[in-house]
Amino acid sequence: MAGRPSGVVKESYLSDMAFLQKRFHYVGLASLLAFIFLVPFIESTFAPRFIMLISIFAVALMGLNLLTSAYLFSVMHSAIMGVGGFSAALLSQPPYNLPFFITIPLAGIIAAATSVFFGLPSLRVKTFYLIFSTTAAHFIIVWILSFIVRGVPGTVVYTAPMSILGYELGILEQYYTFIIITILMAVAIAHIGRTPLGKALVMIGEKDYAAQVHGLSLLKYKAFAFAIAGFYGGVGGALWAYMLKLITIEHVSFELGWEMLGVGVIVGGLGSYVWGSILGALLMRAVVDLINFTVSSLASTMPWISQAAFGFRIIVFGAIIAVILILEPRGLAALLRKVKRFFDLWPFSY
Amino acid sequence: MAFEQVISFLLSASILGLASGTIYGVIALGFVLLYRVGKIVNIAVGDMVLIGAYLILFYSELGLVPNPLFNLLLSLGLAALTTVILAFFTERFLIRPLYGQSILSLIMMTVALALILRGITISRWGTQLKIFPGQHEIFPAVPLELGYIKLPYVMVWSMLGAVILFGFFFYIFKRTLFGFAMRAVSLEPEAAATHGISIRKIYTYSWIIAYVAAVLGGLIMGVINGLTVNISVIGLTKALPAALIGGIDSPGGAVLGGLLLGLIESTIGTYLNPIIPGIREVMPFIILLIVLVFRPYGLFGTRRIERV
Repeated sequence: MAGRPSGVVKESYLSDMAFLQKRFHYVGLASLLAFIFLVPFIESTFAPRFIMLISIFAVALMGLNLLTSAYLFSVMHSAIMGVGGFSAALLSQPPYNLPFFITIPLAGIIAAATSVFFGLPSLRVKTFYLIFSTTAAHFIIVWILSFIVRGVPGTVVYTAPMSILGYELGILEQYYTFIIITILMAVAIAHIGRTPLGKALVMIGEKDYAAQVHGLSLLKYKAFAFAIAGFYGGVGGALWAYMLKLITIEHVSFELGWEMLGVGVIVGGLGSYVWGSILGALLMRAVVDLINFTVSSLASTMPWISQAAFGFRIIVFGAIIAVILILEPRGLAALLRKVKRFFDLWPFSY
Repeated sequence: MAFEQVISFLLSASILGLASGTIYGVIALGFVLLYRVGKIVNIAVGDMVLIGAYLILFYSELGLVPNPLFNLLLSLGLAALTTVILAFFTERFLIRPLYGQSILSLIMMTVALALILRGITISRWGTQLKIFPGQHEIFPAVPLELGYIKLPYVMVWSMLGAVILFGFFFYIFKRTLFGFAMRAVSLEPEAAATHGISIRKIYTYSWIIAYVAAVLGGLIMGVINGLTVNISVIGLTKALPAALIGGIDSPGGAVLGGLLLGLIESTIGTYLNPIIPGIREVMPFIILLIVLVFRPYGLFGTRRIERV
């Protein structure tokens, strides 16, 4: 840990490796969790849906963040989310009628398999060529999806409501289920980042031939990276389908994949699997909702603004990416780390 | 099917494919040029086409000249001039701060450019389908018939425009001192700079050429597909495979790649489409994947790719 202030002494490896090292971390995390768990009691219409959407995209982005830190660029992540969403929706309906705690992992596994298959060209080519191959993969996956649901009117696939043993979950129970799943996935990806697998992925990202010289099998680790990213994307997509209660082809647009890579991962913070993803997801949703809110409040005085709202959202995303790339290339998570460091070392700057 | 019908279908389809292929080639040319000169993978290529098309719409709706054809041509010129300013701003404020940074940063910056251009288009012109004013008078719906071949008028014009652009570009790139400077920068930027070539100027000019090519592509794309936001995705998804088939750093390859793509799409794609619905749109991507796996440097590209 670079930049540790003097006087802080770690006495065991366990305390050195701990995720939460200071009282500030404990207090911060506890108050965040308390806030998330209590917020539906304070505001029960907008806030739960907003936080659920953030948790969905945070889960999906965690996988993409891991994949990108292995220097494997994927713009097919929205299609992977679509695979997860469609499989969860189709499996929850007759004739399968599976409950959500089975369909969500199954959706993750199906999406992981798809992701690994379309990630195989990464063994032949790398860097921006991978963007081309995943662009192709996106459109092929979406085409296959629309081929599967071609008989469904309007290609709208409805998801059965979440239920356990016949008891249907209300919005509140669903909210807590989502939060618990997100926490589980976040803890898992934080630990994956510390295993030999996670370290190997980062090494492949830095210099892949160096990793090969050190005896890492690129086939194995790249397949693992795509599998983990696919699983997270699939689970995110499945949660999305459960939250919206339906999923269509329009949900998994090509632009979404780019926004996830650009706003979610690069702006959120590449290499910071948990907090970077949550910040990225927060930003993605906050921009949309802030603009919607501003537009709906201004619509009475300026009628032209409502048709331009969608365009504003895209402009703001583009501007955010551009500004962050120029000013803070390591993303919002690095900014957060700087703020944290400032308070750690205060009042002396070093 | 009678023999004559088969011949007629094949000939028409391949001529049509070649004609639309020239447009893919035009768009891919800008993409390839930016990669060759500045090592910029320009994801914004589709949105440059989009903004070009809508700029033409903007100027032609002003109705500066009564004759619809001259009006369209004049607005094409004005739109090209406007994109020169856009190109300057793009290079100066978005791309230049990132020179020397990782390739991911540059790619994401072109994504930011794409989002900004698309956002401007949507908030200014909305998402409804629009057509150029006087489009039906300039490009009649009745196709031109030459023996067996039936060819829409817009394709004739697009081929003409593309051939002029190709000729102009290759004359500059291969025959003039300026093109020589461009090739020098693409080969060895530092050495070119020590010999008095302004790298920034060359980068700006390549952005300008890319934008102007995109404007021409936008006109034809807008006439064929109608003006919607979809043009950007269509432009991107045709330019990438075309550029890659030809080889990502070869302008001549981009033209041939575009032609090849158009040919394959309109013959095999049209033939298979009734059997497997939607295959026509996915065809370029399947070709792209095959090319990436078996020949990543394309037909004419430099074999410089690091194997993993």
